[in-house]
Amino acid sequence: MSGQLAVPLESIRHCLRGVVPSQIATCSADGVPNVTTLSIVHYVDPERVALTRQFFNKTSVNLRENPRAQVVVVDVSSGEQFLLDTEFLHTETEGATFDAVEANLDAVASQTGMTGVFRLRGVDIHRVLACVAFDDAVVVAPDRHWGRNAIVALDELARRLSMCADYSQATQAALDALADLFGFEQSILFAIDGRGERLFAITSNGYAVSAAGAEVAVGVGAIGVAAARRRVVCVPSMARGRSMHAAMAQTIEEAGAGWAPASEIPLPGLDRAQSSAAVPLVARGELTGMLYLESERAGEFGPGDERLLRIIGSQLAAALAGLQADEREGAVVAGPPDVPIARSGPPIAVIYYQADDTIFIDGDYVVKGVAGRILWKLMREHATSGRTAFTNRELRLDEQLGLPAGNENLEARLLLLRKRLDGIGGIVQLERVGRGRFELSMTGPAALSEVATAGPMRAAHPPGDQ
Amino acid sequence: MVEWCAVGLLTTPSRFAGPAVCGAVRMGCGVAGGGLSGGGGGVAGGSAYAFAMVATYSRVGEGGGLRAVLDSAQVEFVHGGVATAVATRDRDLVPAVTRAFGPQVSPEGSVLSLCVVAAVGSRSRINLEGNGAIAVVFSPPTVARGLQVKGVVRELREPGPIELARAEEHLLAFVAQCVQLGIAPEAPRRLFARDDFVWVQFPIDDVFDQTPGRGAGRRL
Repeated sequence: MSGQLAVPLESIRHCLRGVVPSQIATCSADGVPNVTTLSIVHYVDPERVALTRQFFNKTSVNLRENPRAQVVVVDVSSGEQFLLDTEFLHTETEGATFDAVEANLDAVASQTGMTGVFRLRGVDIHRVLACVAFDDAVVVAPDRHWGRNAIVALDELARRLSMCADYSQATQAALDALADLFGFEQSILFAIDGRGERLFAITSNGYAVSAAGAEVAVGVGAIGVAAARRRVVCVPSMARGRSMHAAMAQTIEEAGAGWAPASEIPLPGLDRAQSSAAVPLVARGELTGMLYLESERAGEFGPGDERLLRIIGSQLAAALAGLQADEREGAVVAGPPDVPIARSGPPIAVIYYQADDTIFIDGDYVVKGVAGRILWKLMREHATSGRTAFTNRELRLDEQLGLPAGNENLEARLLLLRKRLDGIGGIVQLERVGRGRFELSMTGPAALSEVATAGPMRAAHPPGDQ
Repeated sequence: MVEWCAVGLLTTPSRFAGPAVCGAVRMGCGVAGGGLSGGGGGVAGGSAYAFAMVATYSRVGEGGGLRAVLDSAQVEFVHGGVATAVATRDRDLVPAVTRAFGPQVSPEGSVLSLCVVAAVGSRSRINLEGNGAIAVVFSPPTVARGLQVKGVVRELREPGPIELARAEEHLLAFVAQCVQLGIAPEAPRRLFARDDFVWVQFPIDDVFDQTPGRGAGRRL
């Protein structure tokens, strides 16, 4: 069938990303045409496409009566248009195609707090009977084919990761490589918490402000949805998604349904972000984190990039998991000799809130959750014994920290802690001094204050949370 | 002209019975009558929609049939540089889709004219010349609202200078909206096939809300 298409579907996959709306024309049994806008025209195979079935009530009715349709798709970069004559085959409400389209739609919906409203009712599978350029002058633009370049870039990424001696180094090398080798200038790396419910940013690249410490819930937003589904989610046109969902929210509010959008998770990002991709990091079958990419260019991330992003995610996840294991196995029980901390600077006020393990240093918020408990332990140990040298192993074995056995992501938490401490000017620092070992340093004596909580807030943050 | 204006929540639209209303207000001295031509929105249930909740149908023309009339907000929307797509169909009911520019609603809001990209010999052109059944959807690229009108083309000819100028103005507004999305202006300009335009005019038989959401497809 595909051989009969004047323009093979594979050659216009760059038009099947939903960057700009497509239009579908149908006709009722009594001869009345109908035209409406489509969210996504999804490439299924060389002969078929899947069209989102969301609100197209009349379209659905018409297709049951008369399966013929015509769809126009546009290449956002050139304005080239292609007409697809199609025949409706059936509707799918589950399966791989449905999941792929739903994941994309869910991600877009949740970006503006429309989760659960912008619901994919099904995907209509159409056979493509003809595919032609809208005008004869159209020249089919090639997709961004990575081809052999991708293999070269992936090889170099693998080489750089293999040269890294520790987890922290690998995260930075990875984000640098994504920019250098693939042109992904803005990126954020997340680790998963012990319960698998939240993701916390441990490092970022290309943003004016570090993302370290930002959190998203699994299942919320493009990142959270991709994490929940363990699959790459590309959002080719964020502005369009926002505008669409804003319009829907307005519609719903006007309907007086009492529906309130879920709050968006604040994350540093590009002011003019136009497209994004969320890539799960899965190692040994477990989700260990997420990689988030953003671009100011619409259509930067599309279906053609998903395979490449999956490979990048796999490489990165494997490298980071390996380095975490190295740190674990290589940790020594006894640390290096403690060295006195310089106390020449002014006193440092450290406040620890039991309620959610939040730590403030000299009035600045630093960190919370497990990372907060770790920092508080280190500073208390130092205050009582003068210790400055610590090991990862002793943190793992400290039951009070409540690290989940086997899934503590300790290196990620320590990296987050180091990044956050760097963010307050380095008055308190954690420096890695060897495999599984690190050292605490401060510019002055620390005055520790603990704000106790025995009430429900404490109960709301049991050990192992975050 | 006898005018009947339904104000309130649209419910149980039927293709042949016209929109049923709650709390209808009669204006003028007539009562709605006659059937509605054109396809229906085909969705039951009533809730508010993005446009003003006013559906107006007028008894116009020598046939005396009901015809939809766009209100001022809807006219402003249609004239606002929104993306415009057109559906037609052939005698075998095979649909065709194309673009259009320069939509203009008549002062009383009941007739639409626009320049359709339909080169001589194209399916859209053959359909428009053959049976004239037409559906037009207006949907801006920056804000996801939508409005669809339907009717049967009564007049078709090559566009004149005024209509072409209006289409050019529409293009400029549309390009500006696309640029807001980060789309290079060359892309929407390419949709503007000036040499393939055909100017059509038709009385509006039906109006449908195409805004994504629960009200999508509702007859207004």
